[in-house]
Amino acid sequence: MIDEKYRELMHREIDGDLSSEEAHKLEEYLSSEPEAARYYRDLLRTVGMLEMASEIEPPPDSSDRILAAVFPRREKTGDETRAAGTSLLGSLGTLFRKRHAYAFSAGLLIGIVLMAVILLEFAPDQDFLRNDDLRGTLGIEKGTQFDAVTEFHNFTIAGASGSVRSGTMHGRIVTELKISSPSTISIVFEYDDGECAMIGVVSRDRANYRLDVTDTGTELSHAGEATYFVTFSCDRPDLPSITMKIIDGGNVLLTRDLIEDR
Amino acid sequence: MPVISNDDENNLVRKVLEGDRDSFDLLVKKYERKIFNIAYRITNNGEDAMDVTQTVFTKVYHNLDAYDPSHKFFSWIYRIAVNESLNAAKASRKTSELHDGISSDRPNPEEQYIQGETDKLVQRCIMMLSEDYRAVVILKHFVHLSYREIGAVLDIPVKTVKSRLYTARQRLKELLTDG
Repeated sequence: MIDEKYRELMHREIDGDLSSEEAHKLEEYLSSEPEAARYYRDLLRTVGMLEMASEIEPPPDSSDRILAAVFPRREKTGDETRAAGTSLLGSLGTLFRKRHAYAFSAGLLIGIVLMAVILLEFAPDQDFLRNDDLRGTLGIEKGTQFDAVTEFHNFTIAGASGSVRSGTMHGRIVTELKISSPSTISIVFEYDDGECAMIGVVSRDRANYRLDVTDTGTELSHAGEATYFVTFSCDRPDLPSITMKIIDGGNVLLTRDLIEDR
Repeated sequence: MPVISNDDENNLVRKVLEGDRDSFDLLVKKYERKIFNIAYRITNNGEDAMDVTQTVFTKVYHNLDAYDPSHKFFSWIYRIAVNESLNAAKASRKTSELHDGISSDRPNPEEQYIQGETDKLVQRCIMMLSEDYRAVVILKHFVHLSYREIGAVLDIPVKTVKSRLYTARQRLKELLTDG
């Protein structure tokens, strides 16, 4: 049972509203109450997700539409036919501008999606890693729709084969992991507490998987073949510290630092 | 976009009242994105959000002489934005897809990935909050106002702001992490 007084302190701590004395009391309480500590960690994660949600972009002609609404053009009087025609054209123009803005947005999005699909489907196969090459750093390739993306590396190791690459996009780190052999493995992403957080997993194949998230890592337990996109948010996406490990029966089969700035 | 201080804002308001449209353009440029985001997060609909944004600026322009410069301009404009957005949400009750008109019914994983799974999940959960709670969460986490500023916008005591915010976050925690 979490003391309501401390529950409020957790919220106030999140909002930067605690005195140092209150912060110390909260810290002591959390270190002695695992249930409260778990609650606080989930609360931090929730607020983190809220803070990381993107700002929505208004339509590109938003300012024009606002000003047109505030300062509507006056129709000329004395020629009702022409005025009616102008009004109709004006209405159509407004409609077109509105539709145009959404069509433009939809087109832009479809373009991005198509670029992603092309990149995902037609990326050239890269070198197979030797089994003794189990540590290393994947280099970043510039000039794609990602802000930066690593090479696409295949791996064949005892228990699993597949490929992995990572990129940054909109300030987030996205790792694409394809497991191409039927495997029962765990993929662990380790990162520094407070510097990075896992914010979402998408399975392209809608595969079944289990996810365990802590402050310092994410464990994705997988069975079968699947492709995953795992997204992280880091304080400094250009210089994160995320390590991916593929683990089978407690044995680390593969270790990769996902991105290192060049 | 240049930074506009509160004093500058009051000067802009004065100039607009004197008939200077360029000053109104500057106010539009400063606030349109925030107003659009407030409206979008409350209505969950892009077209409604744009309509609300237009209505907010139209009301601001036509009621500018009623604005009391001893209060912060942003409190006034955000209050209009929240009220107009809540009215629009009540009128439409559209709570379906984020980025409506752009997303398909069953977006494929790449689309989900591009559009941001987290964004969609967060927005869905925000729409599950009652309007009072939704407004507080949006002003706190998307407009980044303080307790006192939120109180000024919504015309409620700071104590009520805190109470609503904590309850809303508790509910969001259950929706986002406990499920």
